[in-house]
Amino acid sequence: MRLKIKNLIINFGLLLIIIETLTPIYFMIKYSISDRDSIITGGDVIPLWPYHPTFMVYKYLLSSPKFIDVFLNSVKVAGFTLLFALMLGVPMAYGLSKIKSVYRDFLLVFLMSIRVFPDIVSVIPITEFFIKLNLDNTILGVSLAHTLLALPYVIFILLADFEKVPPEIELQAYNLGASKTTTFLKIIMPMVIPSIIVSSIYIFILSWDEFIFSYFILGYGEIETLPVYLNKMLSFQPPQNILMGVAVLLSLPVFVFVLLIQKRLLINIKEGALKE
Amino acid sequence: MKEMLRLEHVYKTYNNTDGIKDISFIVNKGEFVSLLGSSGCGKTTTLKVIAGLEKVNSGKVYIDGKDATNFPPQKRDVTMVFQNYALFPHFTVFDNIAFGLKMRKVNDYDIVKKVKNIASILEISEYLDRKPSELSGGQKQRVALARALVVEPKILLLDEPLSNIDAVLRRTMILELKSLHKKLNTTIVYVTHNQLEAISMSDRIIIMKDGRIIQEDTPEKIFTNPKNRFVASFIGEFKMNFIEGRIEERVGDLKFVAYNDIVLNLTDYQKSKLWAFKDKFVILGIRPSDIYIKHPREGLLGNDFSGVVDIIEHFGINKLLIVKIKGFPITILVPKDFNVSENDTISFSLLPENFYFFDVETGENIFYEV
Ligand SMILES: Nc1ncnc2c1ncn2[C@@H]1O[C@H](COP(=O)(O)OP(=O)(O)O)[C@@H](O)[C@H]1O
Ligand SMILES: [Mg+2]
Repeated sequence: MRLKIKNLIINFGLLLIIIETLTPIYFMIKYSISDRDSIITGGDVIPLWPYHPTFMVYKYLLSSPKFIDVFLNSVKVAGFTLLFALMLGVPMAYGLSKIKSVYRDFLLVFLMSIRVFPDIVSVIPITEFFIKLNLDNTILGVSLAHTLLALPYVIFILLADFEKVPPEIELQAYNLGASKTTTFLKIIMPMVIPSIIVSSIYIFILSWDEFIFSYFILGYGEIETLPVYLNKMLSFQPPQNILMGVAVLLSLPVFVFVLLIQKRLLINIKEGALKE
Repeated sequence: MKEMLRLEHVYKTYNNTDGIKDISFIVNKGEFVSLLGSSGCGKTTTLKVIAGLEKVNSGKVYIDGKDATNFPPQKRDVTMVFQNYALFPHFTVFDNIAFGLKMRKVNDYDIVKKVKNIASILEISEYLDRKPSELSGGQKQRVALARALVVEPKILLLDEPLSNIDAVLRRTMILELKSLHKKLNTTIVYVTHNQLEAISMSDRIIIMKDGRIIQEDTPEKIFTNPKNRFVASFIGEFKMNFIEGRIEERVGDLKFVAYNDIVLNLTDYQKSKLWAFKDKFVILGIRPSDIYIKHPREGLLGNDFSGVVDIIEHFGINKLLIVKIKGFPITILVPKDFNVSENDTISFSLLPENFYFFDVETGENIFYEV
């Protein structure tokens, strides 16, 4: 009896989560494929599904050179951010996991400091600094800014995993004749793959929908990322279906990314659960 | 005999106190030497120092005649099996075993040959494709052993390899390790806190306490000639009885007298040394297995007592009796089929040739022969 009630509550909870997740997706997709009559109904109730679904919006967006350009910019920025954040974050987290003294906590707080202030506060000195380095208005600049934002999280996620690797594993590799590099690449790194995957999702999503830093660093230059572009579009009050089309395309890579690695992620979560 | 390993006055301390201090010993080629001591006495640290995984504070480590004190671990040709096996979780058993060979740039053909050979010796051939997580504790241990042995190291270091294994399997593994050592003739430094493992496998035992070596000897000698009370109580399956008493002169003869007027005769040899302890306190030790149970009609043997059996504990082929003599409990080992029940009175004799004597203050064995 108790069990049944418990199951009921769990299932109800799951249902809420699903509704909460799917509702915005539903609206986004519905509006993006709506014909004009399904949006402007002249007082009638807006239908749950468009009268005449159409992909017109997508055809329009995907044939627009400006949109393609902006989309590719976002892909590039996210890609570079992913690369930089992992290249820096993985060794940094590993290094930190080796420090046993109080300096470590000091360094961790120091690393986190960028995220202690609201973005709108830290964005100004950073933009100024980037302008000095001539990094404003460049893909590289935005990528580096995103790397800065992602690093603390990447390090925290990875640090926990590096610390779980028993020190004997590493000593054993040296003992059997492996160099430090080989030990790191062949033995230690593969053991933290789950965290690298989680970090990658995190970095990608962070960069993909980051607005404030992108907006300041790109200024009014001709380079735009999707969120910046979306913001500019809003000021022109575009039709709702086009807006939602952009929103769907903005979310698409995130879905694809998560779908691609979800199987791997699930395995890791399961393995993790079994290990305990 | 060729010398394979020599430690000279090695110090390796953590926070200035823990760790190992002034460790010196030699292991010859093909020898099986055990480091025996309770947890935290510095056994693992000693192995790590030999493997180069910890840098010494001072002292020297010689491997195969060369001063290896500053050699990196990769250059020492010494392999270690850690207490937790340290198998690489993402590698198959085959890749785990092959790792050392790959690092030594052995060609693929030989790698397969050698891995298969060692796997068949250790009877793990059928698990080569498995991941460590799919193995039992005993199988993991064999894989770790195979991985360390396959590179044919100069010295094999084993850190409490049997500590995570149940008692029955431990017995078989003791025999297997022994025969493996015989077959491969590897030089082995074996670490354990279990005196039975050390006694049944080693050519020599090094007893450690608080980071220092207390005694180094063959298993037999360590048993019969313990350096001090610590060694005497540590070695032996059943803990030695210790009785504190005084050496007194009674009617011209030297006796050992304990609290409740337990007066014990001594051998002439014992007397010759114990005159110096006249009217002083000493600790008498006698092993539970050295106490002689008398038949009911047997005559006096000297140091005869009778006492009531308080408790009987069963240990496989033996049982341990706790008997009170004049209120003082003493443990006696008897065969399993010895007919006795609790509250029975039994007669026994404490034969003086089985006595050990220890200094009250220092705990040193008064009769220790260097
Ligand atoms: N890396 C370390 N840092 C600080 N103390 C250590 C370290 N390794 C071992 N010790 C200490 O040194 C002593 C000996 O440890 P160890 O060699 O592991 O003992 P054993 O293997 O005999 O149980 C212990 O008191 C232990 O706490
Ligand atoms: Mg240890």
